[in-house]
Amino acid sequence: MSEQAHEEREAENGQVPQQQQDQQLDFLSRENIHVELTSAPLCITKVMNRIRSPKAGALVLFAGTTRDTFDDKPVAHLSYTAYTSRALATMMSISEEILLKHGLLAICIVHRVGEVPIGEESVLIAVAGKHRREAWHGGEEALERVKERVEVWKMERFVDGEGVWRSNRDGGVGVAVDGGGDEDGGDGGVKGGVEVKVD
Amino acid sequence: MTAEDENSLISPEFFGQYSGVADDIHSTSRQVLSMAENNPTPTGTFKILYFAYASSHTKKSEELLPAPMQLSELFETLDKKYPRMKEKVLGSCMVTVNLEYVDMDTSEEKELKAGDEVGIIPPVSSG
Repeated sequence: MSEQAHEEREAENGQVPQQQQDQQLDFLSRENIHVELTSAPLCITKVMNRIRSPKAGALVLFAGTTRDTFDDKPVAHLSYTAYTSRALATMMSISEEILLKHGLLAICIVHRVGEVPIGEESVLIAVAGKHRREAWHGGEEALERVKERVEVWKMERFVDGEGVWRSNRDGGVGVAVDGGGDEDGGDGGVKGGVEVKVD
Repeated sequence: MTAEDENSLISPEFFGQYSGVADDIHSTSRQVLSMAENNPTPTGTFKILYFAYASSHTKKSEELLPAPMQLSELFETLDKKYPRMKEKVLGSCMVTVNLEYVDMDTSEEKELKAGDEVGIIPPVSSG
């Protein structure tokens, strides 16, 4: 993200427009855990700073970024939608589970929603551990749980205009989004799992 | 473990565990939790939310449906309203009622009441 955008977000603590206030409400936070959904560009520094601890010997960060192709098909843009309240609860539940299981010191999970330009971060997961081993393993497992469970959906719009709702369940193609809006909706060509066409 | 047990995580008691955080964060948690209450639905209806390809199929992200309705009648009702929705969408979706996942295969009856918030949840694709 640009420094400017980051600074603008940081400056929101004072008087902020209503829309930005709403944006600020899309998080849950407690000691050692912070989970958030935001339409703003993600800030790696801010996420890392949330998990810092003098007790930590390792901070592990995963940054998921948006690719410009799917199966060699050029992607024009991607957007994410979320069931915000449900997704935050799931992110919190995953965080608690991972923190406990791997004995971590802190965890932060932030997912971006709305349109995400190609090459930018769509998800950041950061964990702090006393030692590298639990931090690596905990971070990896947190990512897998997020991809399995968090109620966020990715829509890829291809350069040819077709849109596809992705599914993580099979790592496969997802569900295409029709351009036409016919009643029949097309068959969506299920390949290796779920494919749904999107209007 | 029932779906209810698993989702007891999002009960008010769960948020009550939050400690060492500012008051505004407590209120944020409550606000997230009570989103449905803050947007009251007209009497005699429940709100249904459609996500991803469920919303593509219905061409809307949410609507109000008449309450009460038996949960077991939900998919048939939607299928009548939106032809082929069961086959094309609902077969691969999960359902939440007031943020808790419910079992659509159970024979146990559950009633959708006025003011409830129902979510149609396709397979997720975060990350």
